[in-house]
Amino acid sequence: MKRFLSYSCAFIFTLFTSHAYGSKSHTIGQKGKIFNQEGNKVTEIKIKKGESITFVNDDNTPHNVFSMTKDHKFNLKIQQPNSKSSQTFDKPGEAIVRCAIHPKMKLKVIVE
Amino acid sequence: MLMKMVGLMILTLASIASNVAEAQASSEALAETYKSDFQRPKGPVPGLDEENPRKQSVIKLGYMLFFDPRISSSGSLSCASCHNPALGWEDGLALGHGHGMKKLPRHTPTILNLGYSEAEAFFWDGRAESLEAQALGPIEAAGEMNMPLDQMVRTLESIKGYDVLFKQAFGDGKVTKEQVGKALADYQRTIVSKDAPFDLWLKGDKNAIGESAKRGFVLFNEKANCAVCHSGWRFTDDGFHNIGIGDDDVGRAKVLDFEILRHAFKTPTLRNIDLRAPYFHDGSAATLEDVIELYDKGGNKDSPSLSSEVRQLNLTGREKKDLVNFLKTLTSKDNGIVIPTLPKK
Repeated sequence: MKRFLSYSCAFIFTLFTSHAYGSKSHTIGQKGKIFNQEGNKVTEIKIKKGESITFVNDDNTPHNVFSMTKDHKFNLKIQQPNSKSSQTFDKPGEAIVRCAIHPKMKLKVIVE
Repeated sequence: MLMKMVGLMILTLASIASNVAEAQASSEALAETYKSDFQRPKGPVPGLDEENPRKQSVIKLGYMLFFDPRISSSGSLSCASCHNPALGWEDGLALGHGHGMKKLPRHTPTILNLGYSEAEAFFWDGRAESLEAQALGPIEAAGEMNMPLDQMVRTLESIKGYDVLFKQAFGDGKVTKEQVGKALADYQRTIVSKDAPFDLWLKGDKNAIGESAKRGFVLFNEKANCAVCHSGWRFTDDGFHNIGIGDDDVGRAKVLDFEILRHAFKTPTLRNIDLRAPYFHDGSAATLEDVIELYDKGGNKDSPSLSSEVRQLNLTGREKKDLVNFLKTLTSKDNGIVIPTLPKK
């Protein structure tokens, strides 16, 4: 009975962490002044509440990822080439993420 | 003995010729690797690709409004006063002149090829998020055309000849500031530079540009590091960089208060750059040679926000000339602009 209870608790905890509050990390690249996922240009990404996005600068110039969207404000500051920084999205909603240096780099993050 | 000397000379000359040919071949091979980065996109200008029968009427209205000084409070300044098509859609002045001929704080930027911008950040500091918003900005700015937008609407309503133009463009003949912004924006989207000698070279005409310009193109992409910001077919990343001009204008940081954006300004296009002197946001460079000199020394002034892409280049005299010669190949022979006869009261 004790073992059954502990398995149940572990199962519920796993459910909670993997669905209601995500722990997955997504990767977004920055190359040629374009946000991309596995080399393909990306303008929108859906993630779960609590998940994070790692922004990798695989470009030949610095970038500065930020969002001024209410409830999702952040500034990863200057990212030199070959560096990466992560941002966790704790609240549901939509965030517009841009590069401060190159504002044509725009990504809509939909947090479910 | 004489025969030996002549033979030696021939060998030396042949060796020099061979080295020059090798260097030229190597420079051409390098140039080939960069050409694809500067290809003009195919298809219509973004925003002008709608199957809208009214689009031509909207553009026609915008064309009239662009040249109409009656949408300024003095009745003497039109958009074309500063964005003069005869001067590369600029005004040829270091600093623009606005209402009452007072000097503006910044140089007038060109409106050439703006329809292709994806940055949603227009003006030197990117404060307008759309071409429509950009179009209305100078009309109502006190220092520029100094015309409150409500007053602009009343003025246009009082000009009978505009009735039919607004009806054809928007259906109901009612004048709104949004319609004025839309018409001006769509007219600006039609202002596109044609193929320049550089484009003909990209398309395979080996003689479209000279050898010096070809070397300049390689320098532009390599040693001089220009292409890191002046990228793509318009030669701009639509980004914001502090290039070390050293004046007090904080630029983009007034809109977005990040340290890296202090004294940062939007990268200007280099299309038709030869027609658009003077240069920089403060008009402080009179010639293209002056521009190259500033970059060669890594800017006038160091600061925490100075772009890491701006650094001392140590260009030789020949390299500077090659860069200028390359920049001059970006000028196209565009269609002349006909000044419209404006609607009557």
